[in-house]
Amino acid sequence: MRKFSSLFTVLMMLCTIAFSQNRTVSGRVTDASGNAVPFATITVKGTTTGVAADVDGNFSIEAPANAVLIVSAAGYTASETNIGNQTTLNLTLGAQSNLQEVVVTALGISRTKKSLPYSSQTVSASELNKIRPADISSALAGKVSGLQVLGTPSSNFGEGNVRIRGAASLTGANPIYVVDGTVVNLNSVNLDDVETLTVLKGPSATAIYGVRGSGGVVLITTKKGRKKAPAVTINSLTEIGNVSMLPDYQNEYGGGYSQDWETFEYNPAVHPAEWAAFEGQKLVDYGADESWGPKLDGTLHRSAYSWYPGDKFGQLTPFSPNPDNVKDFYENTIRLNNNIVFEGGGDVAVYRLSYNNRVSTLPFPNTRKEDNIFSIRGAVNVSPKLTISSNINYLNIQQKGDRTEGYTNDGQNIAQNFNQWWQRQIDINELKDYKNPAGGFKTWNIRSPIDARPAYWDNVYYQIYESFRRQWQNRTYGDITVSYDILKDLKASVIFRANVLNYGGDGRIASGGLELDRYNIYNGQTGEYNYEFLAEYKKSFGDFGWEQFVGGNMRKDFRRENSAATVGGLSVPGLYSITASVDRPAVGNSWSDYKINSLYARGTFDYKNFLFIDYSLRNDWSSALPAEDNSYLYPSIGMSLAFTDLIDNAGFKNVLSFGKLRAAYGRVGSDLDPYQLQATYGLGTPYGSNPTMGAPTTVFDPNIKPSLSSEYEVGAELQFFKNRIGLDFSLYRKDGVDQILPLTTTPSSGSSSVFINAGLIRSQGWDLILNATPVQGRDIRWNVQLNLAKNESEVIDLDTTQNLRSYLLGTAAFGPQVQSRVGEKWGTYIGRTQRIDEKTGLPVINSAGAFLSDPNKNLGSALPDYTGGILTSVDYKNFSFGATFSFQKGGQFFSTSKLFLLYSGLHESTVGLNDKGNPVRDDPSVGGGVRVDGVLADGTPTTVYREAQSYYGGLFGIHNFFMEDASFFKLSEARVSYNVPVTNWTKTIKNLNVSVFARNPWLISANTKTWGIDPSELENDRAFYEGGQLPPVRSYGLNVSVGF
Amino acid sequence: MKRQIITFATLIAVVMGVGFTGCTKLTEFEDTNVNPYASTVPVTQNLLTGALRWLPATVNSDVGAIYAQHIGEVQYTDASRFLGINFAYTDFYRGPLLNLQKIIDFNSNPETAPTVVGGGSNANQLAVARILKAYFFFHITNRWGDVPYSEALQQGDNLTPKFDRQQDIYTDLFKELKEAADQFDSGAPVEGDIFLNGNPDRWIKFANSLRLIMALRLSKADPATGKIEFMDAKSDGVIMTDAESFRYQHLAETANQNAWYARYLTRFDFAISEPFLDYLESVNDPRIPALADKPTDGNANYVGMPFGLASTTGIANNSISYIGSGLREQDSPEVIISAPHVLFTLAEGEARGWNAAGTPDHVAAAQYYVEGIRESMKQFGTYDAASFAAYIAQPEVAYTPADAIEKISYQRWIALYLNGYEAWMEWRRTGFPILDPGPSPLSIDGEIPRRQAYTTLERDLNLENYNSVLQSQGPDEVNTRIWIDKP
Repeated sequence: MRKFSSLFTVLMMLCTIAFSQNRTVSGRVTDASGNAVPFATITVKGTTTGVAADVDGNFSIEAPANAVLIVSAAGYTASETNIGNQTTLNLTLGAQSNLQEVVVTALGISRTKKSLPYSSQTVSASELNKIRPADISSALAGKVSGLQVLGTPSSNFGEGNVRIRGAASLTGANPIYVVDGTVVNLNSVNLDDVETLTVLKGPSATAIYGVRGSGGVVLITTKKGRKKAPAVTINSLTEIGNVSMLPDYQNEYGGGYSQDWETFEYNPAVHPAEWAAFEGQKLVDYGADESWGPKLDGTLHRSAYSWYPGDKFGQLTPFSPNPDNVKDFYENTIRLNNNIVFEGGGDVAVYRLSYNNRVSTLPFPNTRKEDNIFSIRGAVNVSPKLTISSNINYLNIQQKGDRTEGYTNDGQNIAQNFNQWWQRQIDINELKDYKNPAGGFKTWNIRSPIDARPAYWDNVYYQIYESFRRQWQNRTYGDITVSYDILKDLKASVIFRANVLNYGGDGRIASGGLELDRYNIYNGQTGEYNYEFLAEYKKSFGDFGWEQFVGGNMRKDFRRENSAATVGGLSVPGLYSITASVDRPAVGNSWSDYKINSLYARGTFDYKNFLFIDYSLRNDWSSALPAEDNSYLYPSIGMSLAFTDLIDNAGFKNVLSFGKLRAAYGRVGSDLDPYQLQATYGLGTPYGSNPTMGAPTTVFDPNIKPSLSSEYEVGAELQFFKNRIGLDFSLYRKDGVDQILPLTTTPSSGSSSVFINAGLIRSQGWDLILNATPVQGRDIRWNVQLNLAKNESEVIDLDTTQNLRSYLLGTAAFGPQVQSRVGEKWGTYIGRTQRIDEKTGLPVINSAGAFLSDPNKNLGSALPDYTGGILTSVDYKNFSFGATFSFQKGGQFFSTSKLFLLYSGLHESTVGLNDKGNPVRDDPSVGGGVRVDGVLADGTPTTVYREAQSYYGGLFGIHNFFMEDASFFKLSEARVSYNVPVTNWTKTIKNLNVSVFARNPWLISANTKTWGIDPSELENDRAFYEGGQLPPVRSYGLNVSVGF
Repeated sequence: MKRQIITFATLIAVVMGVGFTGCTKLTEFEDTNVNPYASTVPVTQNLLTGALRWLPATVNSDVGAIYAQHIGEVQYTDASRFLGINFAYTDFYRGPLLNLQKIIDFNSNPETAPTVVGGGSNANQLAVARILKAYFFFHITNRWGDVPYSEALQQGDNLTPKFDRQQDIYTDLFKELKEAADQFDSGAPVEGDIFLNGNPDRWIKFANSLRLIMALRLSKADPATGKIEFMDAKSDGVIMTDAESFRYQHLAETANQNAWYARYLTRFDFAISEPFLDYLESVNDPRIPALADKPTDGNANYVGMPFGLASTTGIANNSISYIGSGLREQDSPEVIISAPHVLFTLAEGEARGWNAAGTPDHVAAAQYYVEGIRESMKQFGTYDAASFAAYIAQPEVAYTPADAIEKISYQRWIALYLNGYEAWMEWRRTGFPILDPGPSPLSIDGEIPRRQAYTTLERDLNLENYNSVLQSQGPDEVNTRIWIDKP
């Protein structure tokens, strides 16, 4: 921190402070559609006075009366306004100009959008920060066409993932996130620092990133210091949320496996004498973790807690519904996001310092995450030609209490408890008292009255308060850049970049619960160092222009980790330390190094600024590849034609204001991980003092090559009616060949997998961006953007010469496999499905009413057909309203929650009346049961009333019943903000914006609501399945932004 | 201008120099790609220990003990209703068998043999590895039938090994066991032998006892060969007393604990099965207290779990008899090959006339039979001379030539308690004990399985060979009879 403050002082001294006696004029900069334009430059005509607007377009400037303000911004034609006597006014920029619009492209190079031969989509800081979310992935939902956000439960910490243009490779490649040229992690960006975010979707745009670009690139440019008077901006957010959706539970029957009550039978051999009085009392089947028990009719019974010593011992309580027991377990969440920025600058130096503090909690106790991010960016003009600039970011993250996701047997996933194995009548308030005065912990799931240890489930409060995980991260990333203008047209830079993460964490299973107590701890360091140079040359020759970049990069990646875990329990209960391990603790250490060297060049030739030819070349040399064959070249080439520049007809241009056609081809690769060329013997679990070893089962190909994806893309950008309607359309086909795969092999060969180059995966589809300004008036503007994309990713080939026809991507808990199979879509589910009689279309059943089923059937693909979103904003005077909708059509996932909601009799569909008007849970012999219409194996139609528990239990293992459609349509963000005309009253405050917003306000449609699942936030990071999904959280917040 | 260019070039040189230090060319990375925390060469004694840790997996399967109806499932009865058919031999091939193959390769290749003598003399390592490999294949072929053998374990050299006929596998296993037993030399004994402490005499007896059991297993399929191998193994010397039984000692630590101990840590899924307990009670078996615990609900009697119910509703966990606590301590040993099993094998051989005379020798058979019972009682710690004498005197137990094989089989069923796969194998061969598939079996023919189906990986990844084994052996179903089970 001391270093920060001293650097701050230096920068403050370097900057020149503007001085003026003028009055303050403030207001907001918008585009012709009324959208706020961030960071526009406002200058007083004829003077050197100038300021930059903030992210929401707010500005304030010192100017004399009747001065003329010039407002300009990249991508717009500048406009001039006479301020007269006003002290508040809004400035409107001229038409968005395709001639001018600048986008940041690979290597951080700013280019006019017109010249780009491929599609790229920019998300403005104001769109990104509509509700100031904590991570990039949720900030992008619905905002980029062709980008599918693979969300994560909003009731857990952690970030989602994104998938760009379908499956780029068999294993599914992730995009990289590049902040000012440095590759960072999703969670390491202070979104308040972001100026623009651009998504480069395919190899034709990302080829210059070589092996890293195969999954697409999310390019982030941060705000830099500007030449202006020192300014301070404070941005403060407070948000409160609550669980918005739970499964539709039944509240008619309680825990147990039978509706008949068990009764207490006094046995003097095992029971204390005073228990004789309990003879005949009704008992719940305490050990049951399902809800097929007696009716919740208020019958007096002994609850599990009545067997623990204390005031409740011996009490009889009514067996009654507690419909809100799960709801009452969840608490409000809190999210705070406070940011302060100091910025300014003069002729010699500019600076920007920011500090961001984010705190959040989950909807249950004992959880907290806090992020602190410090950023300092500055540039010093050492001489007119030499500039030294630097961006340094430091992050500290502390996190406690997030829950395990997926199906586990240790009770660490709390949603799995409530939604899969639970007694519906449990009183959650009773459970809050979880400590047993006699030692250990109380649970609802005791083994028997004389053995109050947990049978299968610990008390959920024990889990939360006693058995939790923590983790911490310290990350430093950024760069130091030295740039020199060698000649008028030639500029060169050398850059040092680093991104180093130190991390650690621990976890505990508390002493006294169901599982053996345990403690584990880990810590490590990962990161990369980059040494780069980049030279750029720009020159025009008459009608021709030439722009050329040449660069090189040496990268060193490293990973180190040490971990340890106790084995056999803790020698001192409650002492969470490795030294308390009863048996020899398990330890692990890992180390990996990787280097890659690259040279690259990129150039553009243009003719009369309407025809552009673009190319890039990159050569990578990788340490992970065989030494004799470690060099790979990735080219791209493209063309852009702004054909409307050839037309000189005003009438035509009133309709088609701008038109551009583009075409591009590019290739990128993906490398091996380090140490994948040589088999190594694993060290196994020792037997006493005898070490063990395991022979390697992975077979390596010493001649392995990087895999290649090549992409063809064509597209058009059209603007109609003076830019009131805009259209950007891309059509692409991407072929991933020579995939580097650990292909599973048959175990009898003595191997588990073989690393080979194999296969062809073809991903094709289109992306569409449609912009419209349906309403545009003096004080009101309404803007809409539609993002829509379709993708199909098919596995054309694997290594059929070796008879390798499928690649296993994953297996759902109690569910089907997810495979990449030759001839089928990527991410196809292969599992067991119900047998259907072809003639009648009815299920084939046996005489008991059980469904017959067949294994190894195709159950559909995880990949959606369509993804997209709608962004809309309405601006009226100082008010502004914005909303983001996101949607997905198609795509399947396997729901383990649904499986056990039914299996365990928790869901409301397991109760009710059958067509005879009798409760389905009654025995079929008295008219109950679930009606099953089907045909017998010989084709005879039949109707069977099946006992409910057998019916729902019998669905287990027939996977098609639990394949769910992941389609959804949701309002993911909404915000109303008001620019307070504060300059009317004070000069200290330059601007003040107040907004209220909602995050995740409305899941408008989804097929899985009844199971309590929001398909946009599946826990599995590739959206294949959920094993015990945590519930979604809806939150509301208030944000105040003040500029001084 | 020129000066500025020079200045800048110097700057580049200095900055880039930091990065390029120690790297003469863009294309050279020296040993960056060598993992400092992993070994590319094996330590053969550690491979051996690793393989030996898999021995218990051959005898402690819950599914095997369910097939043999030693135990029943308390809550989820899928296995008792024979729902699952595909079982994976994956871990055996990729685990112990691969380790043993590497030991054989490194000790038989003249280039590498001198580098691995730290694990014992090459001959002794080869002998132990071959015997163990034969033992694991014996276990595998008994469960699945025809399996990859001659082309197996070649890794990248053959990713799609063919399936060998069980008859050919048995033939080769007899040869391997004989050759290996003769291979021990006087050099350094094997290291890392947590099972038999490198003792060649014990290993030779292990090989012979295994060969004896294997030989009797041919009683249905090829009795002529069986008889020859049987007499050969017997004359080479087999174990006869409980003290000689081949036990794998578990340790009182999580990493090396008894599997049954682990199964009872947080769950209560298994209890002694009702048919088994009924039989034990019908012969007043003194071993019951060792084989089962009394229910914890205060019931003074042992209660068996009904076998193969569709639903166990109404049967409380604490109302039935779990497996005897003495058999599921954290460090309870497991018997890999037991003397009682060998003695009952000898008894059945004599009863079948697998001797020099070629006629049933019921005197010798009866002798082996009662010794088998005695050693079994010793194994379970319930032996005392008086109760033993009373037990064998009962007409239901006493040896009778007319139903010799049935009687031997029932006693063998008890002696093999919890080594379900072997008990199941002997049931398939002899038809005893008489087992009922239970009230609601889900197997294809409603009967108890007679083999296990292959891992689906073979169908997915080794299709041609998989199809051809279906041609020769029959459908990949649990009711297909493997060669040694064919009448």
